[in-house]
Amino acid sequence: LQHSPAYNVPILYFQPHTPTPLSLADIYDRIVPTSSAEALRRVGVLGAVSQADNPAAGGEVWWFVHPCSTAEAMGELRGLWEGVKGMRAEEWYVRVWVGLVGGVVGLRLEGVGLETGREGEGEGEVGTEG
Amino acid sequence: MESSDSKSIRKAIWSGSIPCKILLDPGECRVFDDSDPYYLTIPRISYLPLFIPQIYKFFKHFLIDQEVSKEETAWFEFESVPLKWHWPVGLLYDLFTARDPSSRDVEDEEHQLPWTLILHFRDYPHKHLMRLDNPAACHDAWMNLVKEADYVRHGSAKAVMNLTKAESTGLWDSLQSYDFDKYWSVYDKLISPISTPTRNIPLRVYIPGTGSRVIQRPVPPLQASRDHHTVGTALHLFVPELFPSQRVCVLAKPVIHGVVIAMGTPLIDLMREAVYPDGFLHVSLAMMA
Repeated sequence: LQHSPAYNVPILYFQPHTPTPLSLADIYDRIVPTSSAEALRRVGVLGAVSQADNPAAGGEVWWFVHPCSTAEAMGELRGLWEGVKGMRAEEWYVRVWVGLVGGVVGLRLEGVGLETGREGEGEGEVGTEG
Repeated sequence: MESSDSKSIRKAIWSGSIPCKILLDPGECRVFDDSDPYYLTIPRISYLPLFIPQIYKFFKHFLIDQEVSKEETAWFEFESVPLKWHWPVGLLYDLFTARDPSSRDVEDEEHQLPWTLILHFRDYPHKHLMRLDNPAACHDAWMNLVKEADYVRHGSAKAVMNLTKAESTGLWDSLQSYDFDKYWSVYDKLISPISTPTRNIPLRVYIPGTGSRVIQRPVPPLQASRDHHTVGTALHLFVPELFPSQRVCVLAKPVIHGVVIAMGTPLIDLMREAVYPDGFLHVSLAMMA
C-alpha cells in the first residue's frame, strides 16, 4: 500500500508471481473476483487496474488499482461513520477502503460490511481469493 | 489569459526535438551485424511508442522472425537502461545523458547527438517497462497523467472529465499530429479555469543514477510566508541533500526541456509556460562536475 501524494489516498499496488508475466486480460480472469465486481459496482467505485512504476519498489512496474474515484467515494461514505459507535475514524477508513479498493483484487476483511465498516454486515469471506 | 511571452515560450518548447539514431540489436538481426541505422527526429514532448510503427517498418526485413518480433514487443535501450516509454522523450534524453546544458564542452555535444538507441524485440524487461500489447496503452498512460495533473492542480479531475469527447480526443490527436495550436486551444481550458485557483503544482523531480528515483510531493504555489514557491524552494524541500541552498546550485542543476531553470523561477509561472502535454513539470537533475 502506498500513499499517493497526488490523490492523497492510499493506493493498492500488487505484483502477481507467475512464471510468465500476465496481461491485463489475465489479471481480470485470474485475480478480480466476479463476486466483488458486482458489489463494487453498486457503490460505484470499481477502479481500473493498470500498470505503473511503483515508487516503493525502485520504480519497478507493478499493477495497481486506480485511485481516481477513491477519494470521492470515501468522501461520500463518510456520513456513515457517524453511525459507528466506538470506532476511530482511522479504523473505519481502513475497513471501508479495504472493502472498496481491496475488493477489486479479492482482498477482504472477514465479516466486515463493505459500505459501512461495521462488524457483522459482511458476506463472511476470508482473506484473498483466487 | 496568456501573454505573447507565454505563447512564444510554449511554442519554443513544443518545437524542441532530439535527433535519434536507432540501431537494431545485432543479435536479432538476420543479416549478421549489417542492418542499417534508422535516423529520425523525435519531438521532446512526444513519446517513443508513437514512432514504433515507422521504426518497425524500416527494420522488419532485417528481423530473424517477424512472428516473434512484433511492434508490441519493441523496446529501446540506452547504455543498458531500458527506456520507460511513458516518459516524454525530452525527459528521457536529459535524464539519461545527464548532460549539463550550460556546459560549453563541445566534445560532450558531439558525443551525445544523435542520441543512439538500441532496438530490441526479445526479452521484454517486464520489471522496468509497462506492457504495450494494448494499442491504447500509450494514450491511457498519458491520459492518467493528464487527470493526475488536473487533480493535483484543483483537488479534483472534474475539468478533465468535463471535456467533451471531441476535446479529449482532440488533445491526443494534436499530440500525435504535433499540432501546437490545436493542443493549446483545449489545454488552456484545463490549466486556467477562471474560478478555480491552483492548489498544488504538478511537479516531478527525476534523480539521475541507477533506479531513477522520482520524487513527487504536494507543493502549493505559495509558501506559508505568502512568497511564491520557486524551483529552488521546492527542490530544497524535495531533495535537501542535493539542494542545501534554496537559491544557489551547489551539487546539481534543475533541467527542463533541455535548459537549466533559474532557481528563483516561481513554480506557478513555470507551470503556465513549461508543462509537458501531460500537464506535469518533469524536472531532471544534472549533477555538477
